[in-house]
Amino acid sequence: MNQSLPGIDVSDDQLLLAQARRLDADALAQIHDRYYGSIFRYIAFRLSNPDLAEDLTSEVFVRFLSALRDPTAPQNSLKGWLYGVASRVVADHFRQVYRHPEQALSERAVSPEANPDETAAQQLTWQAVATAMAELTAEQQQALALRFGEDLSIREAAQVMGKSEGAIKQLQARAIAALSHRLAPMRES
Amino acid sequence: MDSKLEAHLIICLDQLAEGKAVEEILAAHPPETAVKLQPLLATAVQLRHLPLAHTVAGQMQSKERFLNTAAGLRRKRTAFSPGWLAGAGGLWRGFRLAAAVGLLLLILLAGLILGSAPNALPGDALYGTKLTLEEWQLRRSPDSAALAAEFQAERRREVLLLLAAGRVANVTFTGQLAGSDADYWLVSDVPTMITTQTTITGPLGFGAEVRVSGQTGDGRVWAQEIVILAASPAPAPTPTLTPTPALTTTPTPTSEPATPTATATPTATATTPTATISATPAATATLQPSPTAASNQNDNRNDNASNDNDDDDDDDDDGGNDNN
Repeated sequence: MNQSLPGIDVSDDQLLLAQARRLDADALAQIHDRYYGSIFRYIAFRLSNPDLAEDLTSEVFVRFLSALRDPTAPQNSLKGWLYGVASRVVADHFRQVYRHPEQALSERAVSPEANPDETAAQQLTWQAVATAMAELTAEQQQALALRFGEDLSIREAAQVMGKSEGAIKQLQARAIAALSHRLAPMRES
Repeated sequence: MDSKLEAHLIICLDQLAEGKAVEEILAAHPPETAVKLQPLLATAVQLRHLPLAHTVAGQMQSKERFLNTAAGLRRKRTAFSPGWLAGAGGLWRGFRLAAAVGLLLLILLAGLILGSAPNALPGDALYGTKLTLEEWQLRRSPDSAALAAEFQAERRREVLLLLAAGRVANVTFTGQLAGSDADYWLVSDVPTMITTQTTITGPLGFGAEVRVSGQTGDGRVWAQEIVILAASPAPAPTPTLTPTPALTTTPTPTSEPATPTATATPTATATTPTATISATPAATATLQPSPTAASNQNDNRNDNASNDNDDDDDDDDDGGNDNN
């Protein structure tokens, strides 16, 4: 995985990471403030439940503390590392859901500004998308989450996933085609 | 999806990301391709508009949990190892540091012991170490007899130091009985008291080598046991000194016949250069009288007549020496 991401002050990230290894409270607070939104969107994009996405995002940061003690962990890419932890947290969640299929629907409205009809429609769309996306490969899900959930450029997504830009473009196109095929019945109805 | 449509879709998704409208993108493609691309682009647009906003409360709760967990880990880490150890970079690095410090202390302690032990006196904590070191030195020394004598002198020096300091200690030392006055003995230079409890083993005599075991106190050693290691050389000293005047008289007569023999040998080697081997007996024969002249001068005087007959050249040589 390439370590530097455009738009991110890598040297600042490295400093934060070094301080975080010493469990420095200020550094850890900065890391949480800086990356919570990104990691939430990355996770929420793959789930249809914002409450669950928040729980899992919180879990990512707690697991990140354990990962800090791993000597084989990357030394300088904080964001890439967090995405890696988030990807494992989501995968663990899906494994758990597969074993225990009962999944509570979120009571929270998707968009607080939307009227009830719109909210219900958004919720349904999101659930349909999340259900369809769960059938994609892990790499396809990750590519879509980074490109459309996180709004990363092709280059940034390639760096996070450790792939070429061409590979990301192809992965993204095939994921869209597969998702579109699965969402077609809902769109027709 | 065929590869041609995939290639079109990749281009369309790039254009969508650049901000172009779906209609504008589709218009650039043939109708039959646009029809296939349209639902795919609609899905991409749908993904872009998924509302993915988190709540402030959720973020705050997550931050609190995150920092609390970190604080717990911090407490566990400081409880597990002292601050300086954690700062040094973990348990292994701390262990190595402790081992290095331990080794350094061990070296310093060994140096201190080895440096102080030679000055230890009987009764001191390091005295045993001193004796062990001496034993080790004796075992390794090529001249152990000389070293043993040195250590015996050291034992006496220790006793004298104890007496000078007025310290009470059990001692054992070896020395020569240099003098005695009733119960007061002088063993080498150590004043020693004989009491009714003192046991003496072996034939005692002036100059005998004795080993004394006892206790220091009141400026002397109170002997508990005296062992005679070697008897005294006995009455020999005075007679051994008397023969020396007799030796002084002898040199003059013996030297006269001895010297000529030395001058005779060069002539023998000069006359027969090839017969150097045959000449050597003559040379060795000439050397024999000179040692006898030095050591057994009285005997030489008795044999003078025969020497004169055998080696006339010796007389000449001796005469030469006399002249010198």
